[in-house]
Amino acid sequence: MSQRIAKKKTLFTVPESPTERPSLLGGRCSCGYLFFPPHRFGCEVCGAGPEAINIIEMAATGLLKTFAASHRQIHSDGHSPLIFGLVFLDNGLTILGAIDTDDEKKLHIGQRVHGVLAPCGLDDQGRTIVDCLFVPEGGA
Amino acid sequence: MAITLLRQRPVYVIGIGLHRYQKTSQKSYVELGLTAVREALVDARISWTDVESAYVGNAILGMAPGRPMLRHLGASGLSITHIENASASGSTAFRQACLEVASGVCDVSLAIGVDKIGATLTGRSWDGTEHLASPSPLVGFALLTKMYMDRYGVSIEKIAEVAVKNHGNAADNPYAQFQKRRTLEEVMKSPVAGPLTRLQCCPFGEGAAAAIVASEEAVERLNINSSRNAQVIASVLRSERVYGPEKNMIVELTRETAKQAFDQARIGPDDLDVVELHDAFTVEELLYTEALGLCEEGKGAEFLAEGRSRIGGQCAVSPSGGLIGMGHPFGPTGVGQIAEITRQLRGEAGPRQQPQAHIGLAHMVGIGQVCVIHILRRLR
Repeated sequence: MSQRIAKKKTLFTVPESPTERPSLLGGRCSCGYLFFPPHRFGCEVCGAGPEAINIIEMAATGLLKTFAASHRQIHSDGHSPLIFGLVFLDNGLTILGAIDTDDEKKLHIGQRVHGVLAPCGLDDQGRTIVDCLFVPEGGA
Repeated sequence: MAITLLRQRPVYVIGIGLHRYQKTSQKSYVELGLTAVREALVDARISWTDVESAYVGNAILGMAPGRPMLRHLGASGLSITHIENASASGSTAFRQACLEVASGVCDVSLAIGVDKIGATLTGRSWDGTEHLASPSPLVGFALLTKMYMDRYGVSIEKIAEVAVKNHGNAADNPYAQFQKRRTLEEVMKSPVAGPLTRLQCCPFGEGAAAAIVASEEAVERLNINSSRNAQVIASVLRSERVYGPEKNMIVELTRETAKQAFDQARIGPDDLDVVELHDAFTVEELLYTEALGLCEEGKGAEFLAEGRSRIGGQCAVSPSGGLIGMGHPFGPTGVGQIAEITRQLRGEAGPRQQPQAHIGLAHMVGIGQVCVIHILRRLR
């Protein structure tokens, strides 16, 4: 497999092994506030500056809180609608992500999901650009 | 501060005017805006030179559209300030006009919302933060709709009844973008995201809305018919805090903004006769009627089904047609709500008139997020 590169470098890791799952990157303030997407601009709970914020790895696993198909945005298969979901991560954060499935019927609320890296193009050096999507445990 | 100011130096809406909300056309925003301002001047029976300051609310037009428009009324040298606050731009322009009059800096101020929908970037496009998924805002509201359905066991048809009511109200509003009654069957056609269908979402377009506010001294000096004035008894603007994963951010933001507004006005939700809400998507009307305290949490669909938010019900909600029926051209929307509330309090709303309307509330949310609430009362 060619070398892989993240579409959004600040949001998730790209493990060397294609069988290893990606982690999400989040921010944690010294006050305890955990947030996603990560940044080091300052903490919106306590107001502390960049020095108080650490970028941490978070497991891209959780429960599907709800989901909806956008009939105006198309899935990478070119015909079915793109599906977005709210994922309640195991660390207590809720994040919005795209769900990699071509059939909404395979999804249900409370379903366990995890992050996967899906190819979405090549960069100018021929590396595979990957995005982090969610899939139900056991495949979609 | 606003509590003291609005009590010590009362502020009145003395004139309102609109250009119909409509699909984007070749018409210049200058013509849209001037139509609304001229109508407001005629309504107030004052002249342009009586207006000392103008707050121009817009989110799409770009830098400094105010003077190129207002100069055509006579380049009087008045103070002009532009206000951008996303969907709440017009509401915020109105708030600033009220506060300027209340502060004693001037006696007569204009809030004018005008916009033409086109490509625009939001602050989030430049905020230096990547986002895992960036679906259109309607996907966010589709997810919110599904969560509401699951949490309270409410069907999408019950939620879609908001659109049936609001399209019905808009059918009687000559300023509305949509002026056609719709059946539930029509509303349920054309899915756009999740359970949301096209007619459950507000249309974007263009238009203009103006409101002129004045002090008591100006009302007397300019010999304005005070029985048609509406007094602004609360003006509150808040922004989102961190509410925790189990809380619904836009509900909490509206709830705490409303609480401050009720405290300022020294009234409660039971005193409201008419309300204009930020119903960009059907589920929002249910969430906000609950957050305002018009009904209990999770009972928004019942409140609607029982006819309590209909014209003639306990509290008419969005008699203008709301964002879903009247339209949401951004800059004008919040000022248009003030125009509708004022018309209702005057008893001049014709077929849309809520009987015995004494107190009205206007509510807008702007992405970011901010929430603006004004409460007005009639003087007669």
